[in-house]
Amino acid sequence: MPFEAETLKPEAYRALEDIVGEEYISQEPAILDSYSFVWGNELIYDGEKFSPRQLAVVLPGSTEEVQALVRVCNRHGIKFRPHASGFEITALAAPKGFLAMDLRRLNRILEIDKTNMYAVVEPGVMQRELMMEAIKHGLRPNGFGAGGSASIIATSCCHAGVGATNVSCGHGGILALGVEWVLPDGEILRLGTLGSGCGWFNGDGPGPSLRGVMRGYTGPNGGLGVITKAAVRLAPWYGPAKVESRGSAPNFELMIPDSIKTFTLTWDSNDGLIEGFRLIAEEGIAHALGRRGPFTAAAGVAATSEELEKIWNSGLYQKKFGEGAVCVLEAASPAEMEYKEKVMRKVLEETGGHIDPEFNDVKQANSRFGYAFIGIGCVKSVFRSGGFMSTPSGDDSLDLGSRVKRIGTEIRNRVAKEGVILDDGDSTFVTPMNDGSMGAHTEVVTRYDPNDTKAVKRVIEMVHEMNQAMLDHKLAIGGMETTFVYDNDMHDMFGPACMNYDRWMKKIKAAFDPNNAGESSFYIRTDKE
Amino acid sequence: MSLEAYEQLMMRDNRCGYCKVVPHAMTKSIEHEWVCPSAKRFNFHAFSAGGRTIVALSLLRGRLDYTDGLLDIVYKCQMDGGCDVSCKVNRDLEPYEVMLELRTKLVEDGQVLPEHMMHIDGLRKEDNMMLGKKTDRGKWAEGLDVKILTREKADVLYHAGCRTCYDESHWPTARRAVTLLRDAGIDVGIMGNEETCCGGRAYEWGYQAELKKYAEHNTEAWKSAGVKQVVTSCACGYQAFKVLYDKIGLRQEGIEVLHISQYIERLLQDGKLKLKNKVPMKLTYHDPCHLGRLAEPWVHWEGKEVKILGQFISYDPPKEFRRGAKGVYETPRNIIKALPGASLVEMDRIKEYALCCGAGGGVKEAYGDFALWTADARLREAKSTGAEAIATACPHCAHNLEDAIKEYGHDLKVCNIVDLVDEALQVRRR
Amino acid sequence: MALEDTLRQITGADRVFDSPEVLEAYSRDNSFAPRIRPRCIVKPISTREVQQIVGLANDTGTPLVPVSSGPFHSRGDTVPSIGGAVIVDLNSMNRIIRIDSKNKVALVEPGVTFGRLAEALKKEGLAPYTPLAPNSSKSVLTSYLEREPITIPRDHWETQDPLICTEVVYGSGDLFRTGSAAGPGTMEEQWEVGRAMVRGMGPAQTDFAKLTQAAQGTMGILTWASVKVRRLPAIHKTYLVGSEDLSALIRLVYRVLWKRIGNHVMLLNSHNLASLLSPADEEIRSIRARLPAWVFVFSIEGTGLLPEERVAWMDGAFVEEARKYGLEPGSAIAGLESDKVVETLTSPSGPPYWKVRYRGGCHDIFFLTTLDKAPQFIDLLRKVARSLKYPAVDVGIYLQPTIQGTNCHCEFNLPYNPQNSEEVERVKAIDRQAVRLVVNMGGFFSRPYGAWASVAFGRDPASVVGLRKVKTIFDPNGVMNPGKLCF
Repeated sequence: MPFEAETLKPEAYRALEDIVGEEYISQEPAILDSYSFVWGNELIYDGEKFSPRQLAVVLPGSTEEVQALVRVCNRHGIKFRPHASGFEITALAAPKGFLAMDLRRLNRILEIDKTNMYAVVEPGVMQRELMMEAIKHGLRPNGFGAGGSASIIATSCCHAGVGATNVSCGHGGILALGVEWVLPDGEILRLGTLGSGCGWFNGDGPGPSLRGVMRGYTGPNGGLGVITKAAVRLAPWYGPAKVESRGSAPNFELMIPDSIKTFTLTWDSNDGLIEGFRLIAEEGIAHALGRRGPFTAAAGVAATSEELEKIWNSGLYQKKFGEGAVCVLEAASPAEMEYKEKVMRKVLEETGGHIDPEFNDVKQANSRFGYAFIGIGCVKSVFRSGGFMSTPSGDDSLDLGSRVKRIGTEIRNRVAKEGVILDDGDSTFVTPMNDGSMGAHTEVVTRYDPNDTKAVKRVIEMVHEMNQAMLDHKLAIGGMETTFVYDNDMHDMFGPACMNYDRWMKKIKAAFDPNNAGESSFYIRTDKE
Repeated sequence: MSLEAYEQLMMRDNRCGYCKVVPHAMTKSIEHEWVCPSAKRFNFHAFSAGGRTIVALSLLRGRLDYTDGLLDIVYKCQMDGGCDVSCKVNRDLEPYEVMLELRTKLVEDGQVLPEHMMHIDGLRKEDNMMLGKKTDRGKWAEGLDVKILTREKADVLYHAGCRTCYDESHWPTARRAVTLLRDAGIDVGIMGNEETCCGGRAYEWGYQAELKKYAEHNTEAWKSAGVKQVVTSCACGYQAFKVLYDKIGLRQEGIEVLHISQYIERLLQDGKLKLKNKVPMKLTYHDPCHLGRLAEPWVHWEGKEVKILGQFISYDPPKEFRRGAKGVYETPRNIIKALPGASLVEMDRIKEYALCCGAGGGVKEAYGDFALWTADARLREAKSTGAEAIATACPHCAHNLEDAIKEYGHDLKVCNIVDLVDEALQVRRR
Repeated sequence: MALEDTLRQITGADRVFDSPEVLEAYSRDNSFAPRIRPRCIVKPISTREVQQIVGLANDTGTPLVPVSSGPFHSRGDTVPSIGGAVIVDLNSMNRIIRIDSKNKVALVEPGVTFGRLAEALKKEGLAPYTPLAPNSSKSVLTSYLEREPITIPRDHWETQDPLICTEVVYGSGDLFRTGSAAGPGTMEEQWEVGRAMVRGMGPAQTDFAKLTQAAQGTMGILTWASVKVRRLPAIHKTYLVGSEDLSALIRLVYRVLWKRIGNHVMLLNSHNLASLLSPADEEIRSIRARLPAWVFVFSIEGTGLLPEERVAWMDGAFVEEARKYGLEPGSAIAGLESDKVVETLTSPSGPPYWKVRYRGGCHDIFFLTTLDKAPQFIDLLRKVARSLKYPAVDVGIYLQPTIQGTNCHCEFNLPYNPQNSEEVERVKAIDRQAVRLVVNMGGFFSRPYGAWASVAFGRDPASVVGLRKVKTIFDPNGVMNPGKLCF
């Protein structure tokens, strides 16, 4: 699809420039194009890597600037969408260019309340940054699949929030407390205690919680204004104030502190893994717990593609890995660790699981820790071929996830035989949430080369087939529960089968964004013909 | 290779932004997490390696015309390679090579900076990048008792480098280097006025022809001089001779290329240098990019990309990626540790993930403020270790750091490894 | 046709009530809300009936006031704020639709009480999460819907817990299911594929359940909800830690929560603990006098595959932590045994409900804060009480850590004799003064009942704007419980 170069009216540009200063706004085409390119674009634009060129890019430096920018957008009919890292298809893709609001300058950790276990951050604070600071206070933030370069606010308030530490931290989407939110009409809404001038500690009320408008199971992906500050809950950390590291490129690794033990657990069947997960989660012993496919597991320990190829060609993972998972235990005392490890082993005994020495050497242990700590290895394993898509997904019980996995991988493996996606058996990611009390998240991972036009075309077809299967089998809402909705496609497909939720979402969108200024291709559009 | 040759890799960029920061596992603090000065200073994504990759692709696709803004994006980069190390922890991409080819393309298309052109013109006329006269190149060695290899032969050639030759403040360091080699019994000589630029910096700015020219010239000159070893105090020169000449097929067969720190280390190990005097300083060490990550030996590879498992990118024959680990990191540190009375404290960003001093890539010449801004960040990091001095092994680094000390008023000294060794030698020399 | 007749057509004649006695009974509760008689009471038994009732309300402009629990009501939210309202009493919708032991979730209708649910769950080795000694007629669904805090903070992951998915008839008359219950598929089809309704967020990018929680029935009527339940322990160990020094207990509680040891965590003052455990006022005074000022009630539940080991390490860790603060945990205090105390505090209460045993009536003031700030609010309330000549010793205090320790529900219980107008006025005055002072000091009325609403929403006009937008969407004709919150 050819790019469309729309321009802002000069008076609109001037108004925006007056707010942030000329250093922090640009319409330079080369700069705009760097905001019109992100992984996954080729799936939306039929192989084309560039989305329509953005109208301008602006970098606000404060909530006041954000509000002023949003007001200008409303006045001049400009659509805007904020992002933090921009490392997500939902940050930048759209049918037409918009004002891309890059929030990287809002990057302060404002407060860490050690006693009450939460942190207050701006959108440009990334997971690994908050981790580094929080552990000094005996606390840690949730980790997520996007890894340590993803924004805390993006995952808690605006996008998804899933990761292997959900089991002990909670799903990212429930962790936000008080939030400062510039609504798409330019008003500022402060959720919970913040709005009442009581501080940051609670995000709900008075009365019904407007956090329910801010996000659902997934978030509005920038389509409903700008979150400029948020308090997020932190989980306990029993390790040192600083985690040591060592190595040389590319073999850097974090040193596991004494408070942590990591394991690769394997089962011979999915049923065994599911039951093992259910029990481990319910026991409340896991710091992190997540299924990895054999290829992903091998990629986690291989420093280079060459090494990965060698490992894979050895056949070890295909033959012996089975249904495998990362399990990280954390404890405040040796007695606690002894108990947790004993329980974990008991679960394995009950469910036919193993701790195979071949997958549990020191290097692999460090790799697992890095993955759980700040998502080391996420990019390495997921973007092996350059392109990635994650669908279908299921988010309820482990049993439901099991069906999603089965049906999703059947389709995926059939397509893999055509050579158009990475044929790695099964890279489904499964992770229980909230000690299992919120079920589990399951997502089927697909990798492909974005240069391969045949592969891209086939992946587009496959994604649609998977989503249709979710609908036909009544398993889930597609597109990772519309994290990957685009241009209302998932809503149109699933809304009628799911209580017409999209009708309500449109009303909410219309009520809170009366001028439709929030570019909401990855939320819900109310202006689509 | 051409820019087009990297198109497939460009398409595989996933906009993760890892190129802007040190490898995540090695992040010691939020303050010192960034490794890309350009992205940090100018904020827009285009100023990162990932951003320039996108820009390069956009240019290839005909989406962009040349503008001043585009030139700024391309040239406001020290070409320090920190991005490349960080990216390659996770991906098999070549962000550094893409940026190099992008510059080359701009130069080919006449899209050059006047500030760069000035130095390139000077290079073409006077064989140096310092706007100096060729006839002044050897002045640093006046009065020094050393062989001139246009007339005599020696085993070892000491190459001073453009910065040293034309910056009086560095002459003592060069003289000390030669003297300590000579006094250690090394048969050393210099080229004097006939020494030329290595061509490395010009190459880094996008002028590939200049590298070829000087590579050929120097290869010839060294053969004529019959040297077995070339040793230099200049990290850029070291990288050019060791890596770039090999890259373009002009590997120095039969000639060993060493940095002065490597030579000193050998002399210490062989007992030919004895460090007796105390150097009671708390030092931190700044890894020059061209001695460190960029100095990793070149890996020649010819083959093709193949796909296995459907879409897994592999290479036939297997391809070894240069990831920055095989630079010269321990040698200067070993020397510092060997100095009696000295102590070494490390900064957060070191070795293959060190922060650039700010001078490279033509930034010092064309965007002086940005070069100083970067150096200021580095100096503040040095200061945060409690060190009283920052040691380095490159005159370009030293020069930019010293300029920043003056500009920003840092209470810190810049020391060259050679000067520190000289300080510690038994007999004081001048 | 008269409204009542149409209602009778919907539910049957035997479930519509409009006798003066009944109207009087529903016109007031045990709060200070003014007496306003409803028009009639209707008791539906199905979602379909509820939908029809709401449809009728929209057609006729009739206010509806939903109620699910049996008496004792004391918040003012289940009595009309406006005349001519129809009370929709869901007490008869009392099925326990499903118990899923594997996924630890139960689906309940509004009329299910804690006692009934506990009994049903016990057969499966499960138990409900309870607030502190809920009234025996209290609806489980309503308790969770109104965010009453549960006594196990470790399992309280967010404000919404333990409420998960809901089926709701919005004020518009539309039926909706929230969370993973939205579909695809009917409930039966969803169960068939393994969906357990354990994920409350969504569907998609709106968290619909949060928009009805703490809404005091102003958005719609819930017809069922899935709720989290917990495993009954094989063994347990309970402790009572008494101290005159609340700060020491608070520090211990924080450590317990940070270390994630134990299950039930409750902090009560002597008056409240005595009231919970005694049937009558004289005994309350007697026990109160023997108790230390503060008691931390704590339990460790041995669940899972190695219950004894679980209890053992947590027990060791707890005692070690307690001793660091100069505290000595015990299994009894003042003749009260810890096992009995925990059982009483986590079981339905009454009749008579524990709060009214002392004086016959009780007014509660509760809000959210953080546990470390609770002492400041305690000082504040006591000062106000003293200034209004309310006996400080009679003030009941309950501190409940929530959201895994990030928040604290801070509750003051003020017993009074409802027949004594002086006592009534005194307690009203305390409420008026204290609420304003609490708000000024940073206390958060996340559940703003009655007169608290104007104070709470007065602090946050932006939220009022937002909530009214939501109200317009889900209850466009404003039939749902008008006069509550900011509506």
